[in-house]
Amino acid sequence: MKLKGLILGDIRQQYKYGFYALYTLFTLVYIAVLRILPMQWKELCTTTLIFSDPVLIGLMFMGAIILFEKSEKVMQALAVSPISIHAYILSKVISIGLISLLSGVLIALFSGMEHSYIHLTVGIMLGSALFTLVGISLSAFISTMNNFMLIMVPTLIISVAPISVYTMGYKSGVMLLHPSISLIELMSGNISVISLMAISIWCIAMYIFSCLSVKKMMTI
Amino acid sequence: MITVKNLSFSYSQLPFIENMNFQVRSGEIFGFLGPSGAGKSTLQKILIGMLPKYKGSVSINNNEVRNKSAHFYKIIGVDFEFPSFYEKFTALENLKFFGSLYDCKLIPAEQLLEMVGLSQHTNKKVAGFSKGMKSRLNFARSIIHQPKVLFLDEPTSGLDPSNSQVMKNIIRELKNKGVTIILTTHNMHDATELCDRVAFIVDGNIKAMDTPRNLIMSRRYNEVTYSYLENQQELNTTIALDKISTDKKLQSLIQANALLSIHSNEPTLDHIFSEITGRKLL
Repeated sequence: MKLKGLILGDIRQQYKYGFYALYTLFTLVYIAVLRILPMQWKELCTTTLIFSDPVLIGLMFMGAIILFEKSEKVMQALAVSPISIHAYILSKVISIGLISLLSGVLIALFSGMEHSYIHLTVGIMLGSALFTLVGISLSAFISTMNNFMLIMVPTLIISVAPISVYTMGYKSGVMLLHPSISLIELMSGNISVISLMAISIWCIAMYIFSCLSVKKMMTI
Repeated sequence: MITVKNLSFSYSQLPFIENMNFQVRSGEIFGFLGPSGAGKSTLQKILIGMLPKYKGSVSINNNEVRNKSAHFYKIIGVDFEFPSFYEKFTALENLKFFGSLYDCKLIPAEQLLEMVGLSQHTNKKVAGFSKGMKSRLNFARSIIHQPKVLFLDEPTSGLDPSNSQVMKNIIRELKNKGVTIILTTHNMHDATELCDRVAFIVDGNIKAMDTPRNLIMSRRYNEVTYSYLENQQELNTTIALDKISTDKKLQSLIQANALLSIHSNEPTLDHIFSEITGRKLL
């Protein structure tokens, strides 16, 4: 009941701040671009594009979402309500995951390529959850948008840069320990125990950091 | 209802709240009065569980605050000094959202908006509200789940006299229904009007604690000022209330029905606060 209320509140907030309009536009643009690409580029580009935008939305926008909540002092009102830190985090993960999933699946569906939708869906959901958790973890250390950009940009580079090395052919097994590589593999339909374990461990670690981060934000 | 024993708290190496003790009875309106930076807000944060690293004991309904469970926030309501809302949501959307976080019987959002005089602004975005409207909506949010203990931080701040009176009437109604209310303010008029007891807080310590009336009467410098005409000039004389029977001038003016005015000058809670603490309320 409380989780449902939080999720609906988050979706309403994201809708009112234009996230749905923005991602409808992005999705249409991405589909248009993918449809005119040559067939040999399509598969790689579709997966990389879905990863670099709908999946990373939590990392890119969670700072803004939580900054709004901090500046509007919603965080302190939530801190004195009976919701748990877990419900707060889950609500953010689920509401952002919904945009990631809708946008990612629509891009894949209309890109004109065959996909393993089960792998793609699981990859988008896990990836979106992981990067939303990273965004929440970082939010405890930010108080302004400039502040967030300073922290977010290096994190984004660390998250995305290894993908270019990997796609250019350096496919060492150790690289699967990097969550982005594991996610790209999963979304492409190449499932392995190592990549699943790597993603799970990263998700658990980021969930713990997120809990500490939200606790810090709600007790000060 | 609320028991605070040997409470100490510090943000740094220096003590901020030291060895504080007090009790608030069920159904009482208890005021924390003090200047900015005196420790009122810190004390409220401790009581509402936002600063759990305190020393001593703070219990609400026999539950130690530092060991609070989610149930704790079902029985307390907090009206912060500054509005806490999603600015892009309407008043109704905000109240319905915060109401959805509770699994107990709620006061309908529409009824609350009517109660605080915002029924004309139900579907208006909070971003377009004035300071006073936000303040009233904040109050409505804090009571939506019918809390047993209500913390109010400057609840009449930014309100015009008419809305301030409406708010005070609602606070009195809540008290009559048995709600325990903690009022944090530096507005002595509100405190005198509303509080059953007040505590003067300065530098993290309680300097005095009693009913507003007892605090006022304890200083024993009630005075009477009367005015009269003499040689075509209006004169004023002030005498101590307990010397009234020995003032020959006053008696003769009464006999001659020649008084222009007469009124008592009880000290205000402001005066008492300054006298006891040596500080002004800012």
